[in-house]
Formats: sequence, C-alpha cells, structure tokens
Amino acid sequence: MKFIPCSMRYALCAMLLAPRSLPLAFGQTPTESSCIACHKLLDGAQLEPVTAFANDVHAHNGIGCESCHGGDPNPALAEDAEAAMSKRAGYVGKPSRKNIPQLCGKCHSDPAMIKRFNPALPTDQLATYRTSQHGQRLFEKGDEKVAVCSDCHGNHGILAANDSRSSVYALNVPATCGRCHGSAEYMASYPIGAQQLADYDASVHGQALLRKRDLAAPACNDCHGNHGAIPPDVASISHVCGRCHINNAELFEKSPHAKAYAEMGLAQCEACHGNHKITEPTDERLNPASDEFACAQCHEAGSEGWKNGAEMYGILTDLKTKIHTADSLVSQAERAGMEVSEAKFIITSADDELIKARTQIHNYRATILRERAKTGVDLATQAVDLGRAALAELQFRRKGLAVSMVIIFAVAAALYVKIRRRDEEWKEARNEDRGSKIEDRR
Amino acid sequence: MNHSTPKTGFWKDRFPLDAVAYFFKKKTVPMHRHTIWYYLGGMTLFFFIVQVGTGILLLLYYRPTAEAAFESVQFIMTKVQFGWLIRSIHSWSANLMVAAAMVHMFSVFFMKAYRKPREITWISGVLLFFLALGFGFSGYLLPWNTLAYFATKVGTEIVSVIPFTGRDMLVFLRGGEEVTGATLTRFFGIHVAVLPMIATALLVLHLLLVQVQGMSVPPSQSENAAKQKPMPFFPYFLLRDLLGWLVALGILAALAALFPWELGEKADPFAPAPPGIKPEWYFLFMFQTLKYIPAKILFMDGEVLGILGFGLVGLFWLFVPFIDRRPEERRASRWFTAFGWAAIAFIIIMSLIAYVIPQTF
Repeated sequence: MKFIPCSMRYALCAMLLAPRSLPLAFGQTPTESSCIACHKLLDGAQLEPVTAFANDVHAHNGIGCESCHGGDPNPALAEDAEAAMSKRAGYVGKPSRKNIPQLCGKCHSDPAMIKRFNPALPTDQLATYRTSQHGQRLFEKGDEKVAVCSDCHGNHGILAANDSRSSVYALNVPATCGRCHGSAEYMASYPIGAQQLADYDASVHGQALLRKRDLAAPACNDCHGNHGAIPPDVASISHVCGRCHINNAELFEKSPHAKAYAEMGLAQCEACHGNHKITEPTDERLNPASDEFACAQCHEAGSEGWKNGAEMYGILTDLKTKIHTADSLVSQAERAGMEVSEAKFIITSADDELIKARTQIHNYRATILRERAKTGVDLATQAVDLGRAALAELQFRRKGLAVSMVIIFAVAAALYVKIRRRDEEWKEARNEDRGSKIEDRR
Repeated sequence: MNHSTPKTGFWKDRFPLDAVAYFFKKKTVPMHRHTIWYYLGGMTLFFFIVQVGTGILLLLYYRPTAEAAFESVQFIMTKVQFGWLIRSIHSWSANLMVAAAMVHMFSVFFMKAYRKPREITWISGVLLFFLALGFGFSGYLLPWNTLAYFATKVGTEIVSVIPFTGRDMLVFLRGGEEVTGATLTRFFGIHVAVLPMIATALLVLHLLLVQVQGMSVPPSQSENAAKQKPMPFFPYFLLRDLLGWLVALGILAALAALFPWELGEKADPFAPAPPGIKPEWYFLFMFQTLKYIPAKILFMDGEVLGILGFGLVGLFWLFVPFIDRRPEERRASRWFTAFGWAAIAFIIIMSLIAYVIPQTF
C-alpha cells in the first residue's frame, strides 16, 4: 500500500532538497543553472519556461527551477541532462495538476520561509483553497478541471499581485476568472452556467473597474474571495455587499425586511439588485406604475408594503423635481451673467441629501424617509427661491438699464441741442466781429 | 467826491478766484482737422473719476485677506444693494480707462504734442499710463479668484528674470516667495493708497501743465489752425466734453448691466493652474511676445532679453521728447511716426494671436 503517491514522493524529495537548492542571496536572479543553460538551447515549449521565468517574482527572489521541479541546478551539469534530471537529484518534472496546490503550499504555507522574502504575504492560501469550491472539488472529488494555483497566477511567469501585468491584478481578475467561468463549453458539466463574466461586464461594478479603471470597484474575488473562492450564501450577502455599502447594509439589518427575508430564504441585497449584473438602481424601482417596481415582487397591489413603496417614490420624486426646478432657474440666471454661486452650493447640498435619502430606502419606512428627505427639500426650496430672486433681479436690472438709457439719451439730446444753439450764437458773434473788423478797416 | 466800491459777495470775499475765472473765460481750444483727439484726455479723466468713486464704495465692504477677500466680493455682488453694479462698473471702467489712455497717448504721439515746451506734460502722461497699468495689475488680484491668482503668479514671476535685483523684486512684490495672503494685502495697499497718491500728484501736474500751456497744434495743422478762430473752452468745448462723458456713461452702464463682471471660483493655491488663463488684454501682447522669443539668444536668456527689450522701449517712449527734436525745429519726423504705427500694429497683431491661440502658462 502506498501511503504517498509516486508524484508526491518526488515533490517531497524536492522539498527536502529545496534548502540545499536555495543558496542564492535575496534579489539574486538564478540565471546560471543547469536547467536554464540547457533549456536556453531548446525551442518552442521547452524554451518558453526560460523566457517567462526571467520576469518571474520567484526568479527575482533567487528561487530557481529546482525549487518546484527538483533536479540539480549546478551549471557544471548543463551538458549532462541525465545527471541534472536524475531521480537521485530529486527531479520531479512537471507536477500534476492535483499536486500543484501542495507544491506551491510547501513554501507559501511556511511563515518562516515567506518571512525571508515578503513578511506581509499571508501563508493561509493552501488552507483557504481547501475550503473553496475549487479546492473541495479537487481534493474530495478529484475534479482536475477546477482552478489550481497556476491557472490564476500562471506558472513560469508569475508576477506579484500588485503588478499591473499580473493575471491577478484587480483589473485583470475578471478576465482571469472568465477564462473558465466565461466559457460555456468548459463550464458545460457544472450547474452554474457561464454567464457571470458577461453579466459582470454589464454591471455598475464592471463598468467602474473595466471602463473607468476604478480600482475601488469590486472584482470577482472581492465578493467571492480569492483562494477561498465560494459563492456567498443567502445570510452573508448583506455582509459581503456591506463591506463597501456600509450604510445600506446597516439600514437593511434594522429594517423589517431583514427578518422577513431570512424567514423566506431570500437573498438580501440580491433579491432586488441581482448578483453579477447589478445595474445602476433608478427610482423607477419604487414607481408603482413601472414594470421595474420592486415591491410588487412580494407585496400585492394596495397592500401596506405596496403603499409604502409608492409613498417613498413620491417623496423622492418631489425632492428630485424641486432640485431640477432650482437647477434650471439658477442655470438660466447664471447664463445671463448673474452671480449664483450660493444657490449652486445649496443645490449641491440638496443633491447630497437626495443621495442620502436614496440610501434611506433600505430601511423601507416611508415615514422615516420623509423626515430624512426634509433637509433636502428645504435646501431645494431655498435654491428655487434664490433662483427666482436672481431672475427677478435680472429683470430689474434690464428695466433699470432701459430707464437709465432713456434718461442718458434725453440729457445727451438736450445737450446736443444746447451745443447747436450755442454754436449758432458763436457763429453770429464771429460774423459780427468779422463785419465790424471789415468796417474798421474801411 | 463819489467813491465807487467794487461789487462784493460772501463767496467772492472769501475765495478771490477772479483770476482763475478770467483764465477759464479766455481759455480756447485750437480748431483744425484733428481737434477731435483733444476729447480723449477728458474721457480718460472721466473714467478715472468713475474709478475713484466706485473704488471708494467697494472699499466699504471689501476685506483684503486671503480668507475673506473672495467672500467679501461675493457679498458685494449678491447682498449689497447695487453692489453688483458698482463692482461691474469699476471693472469695466478700469478697462475703458486704459483703452482711452492708450488712444490719448498715441494721438498725442502722432500729433507731436510732446515737442518743446510740453516735454514734462508728455512724461507725466506716460507715467500716468504706466500707473493705470499698475492699477489694473494690482486690482486684478483683489477678488482672489482662480484666474486672478494664477495670472498674478505668472505676472510676478516675470519680474524675477530681471538681472541682479529680480529675485528681491519678486519677494518685495509678493511679500514672500509665493503668491499668498501677504501678496493680496500688499497689492491692496498698492492699489488703494500708493498708486492713487502718486497718480493724484502726477494728474495735478499733468492737468496744470495742459491748462498753462494750452492745447498743442500739430505741426501739419498749424496753418489750418491759424486760419480758424479757436473755440472758447467755456462753454463750447466743455459742453462737447460733457456730451462725450454722457455717451461714455451710457456705454459703461450698458456693459455693466448686460455683461456683469464675473467673479469665478475662489483661488486655491494648491490646485493646478486651470487651462486658458491669460492676463488682462493690455498685457497680452507682451506675454505673447515673450512666448515667441527663443529660450537662448547667443549667451543670454531669451526671457531676460525680452523683458530688457520691453524696458528699453518703455524708456524710449518716456523720453521721446528729448530724442525726437525734429518737430520743434518744424521738420517732419517720419521715422518716429512710422515707429508709432509699427507699435500699434505689433500690439494689435500680438493681442489677436493671443486671443485666437489657446493660452498655456
């Protein structure tokens, strides 16, 4: 009876030999080893490990090929492949998919070892991987189609997760997960479909991360975990979403819906917002006249819950309309050159209050929402008044200008007439003067 | 014996200004083809008076600190009764004053009115024009908005390229290494105290010399003017002056009401300079010229050379009565006339280019 499979024994041998094969100082790249010297002379798939390994984070930390594959890296054996890859030298060759997690874990689960290179790096990857859907299927069901370390991180060209070229860098995570979860063919044997990547791509989160390149937006691993990737269960969804949407989650927990959803087995946030394809929520979800009216999913027309939703829609619509009115009045006054910075500041504050009011919806109580929206309504009313006052002032100015122009024109016309009269008098005086001079000369 | 006593009155006894009244009664204005240019000086004076009046009203509410300047101007424009009008008139009138002064100065130059014995009148006039530019530059910063802040930063930076004293002058102007609240307070002091004091003294001298020496007749018009009887200043010319002032007032009111001067955003010294900032139109030709000067000319820094060049042209302009002696000898000074036209063409072309091409500082 074999307690340890053959390939594992090779891996263990390699592990035992590993300290001997890690004599390189930190930061020293193992360029000259029997493996590299020999593979450099090959081509195609045999050459690829050498070229990819040049950028590998392990290579940059002085960890050579033998750490995973075993064998003797002594450069003197570059031309003696048999000796370098002999069983005596602990050569493992290509590790099987099933053994990859343990192979990586031999270092990455060893705090003392990791501390030598990157003390901030966690060492629980293998342990959490075992709890993931991937790990469970791999270890318990022997399903080798599931993702192992190298599927996400790569093999010979592994980069640090914060390197923007890395396949596990935040912006690249959806594509990395999507390599399997976006392929209908690959996922055909699983009951979860392969729509997740396309849905995420169309979601607000996908738009923010992939289009706006906003690293604060969640990628797959932010909700599902990375090494311990698992779909959040019904009870934990609000906690997962609540890591970012703190206020919404808190309000939901205190709302009458929290208990009702738990009893009904409904997935908290997901029940209204969906999961991967979370689109921008609009107020139409509270509009009884709209097909999107979310309350109607559970509440019958005319029931308390239905009315509550309709009332919340009315409160938000009222606030939005007031802000819109204020904005249009103030913009009109601004275009005419009026100083309206105070009104604009108030509108911005009212907008903030609208956002707060929308968050308040998660408490599902129209009476509380009305109270919270009051500040916004008051601000919007104040801005409307200021906008109207600015336009009234504009009219006053225009009328004032017209009156001033009439007065100025009248005075100027009178002055002109006076000048003409004086000129005539002066001309007459000059003529008389000239005449008397001629008389005198005579 | 019957002694006739001179007619007296309360005011006449206390202010015996008969000589002054007699002077104005006898004061005349020469009549010829270019008489119209004589109105420009009075027009500039009118805008200056408007500036003084509106400036005093703004002073009642303006607070010259980095923390409160912007808000106080905002308060003037939104809360003070007719505050917007006063501020808008002050800003528009400042621009019209510089424009009127510029046209007046060039008309005097082309009419060779700087020739003997009016050299000091010319010098005091040119200095008044430079002071008007100083008023504009120092006043531009006072609302403490973004455009003003960065325009002042760029404007004062130019001073630092002057050899030997440049750095000290920059620190003196800014009240430190950077444009801060200290610069604002300093500019305020210069704008409302230092410049008005010097300007008043120069203005009194300038007007006194104009009254004493009378209007200069251009050499080309001396025969024409001799044929026509001069126009008595009072009331004929004065009435025309008043009509001009009324028209100017109408234009000013329309501009202030239809295009109120914008306040913009409050200055943020830590924010990057916004795109498209440019100085006031009367400085634009100099900024554009400095842009076209290569970084190095022979062994000298291009910008230093440009500043020195403008300085030399300014000195030449100031002392032109002592350089161009031909008009007083009744000889034509065509080179100087050509220089004047070339200067006008240069200012117009450079300013237009600066308006057409987007500005980046």
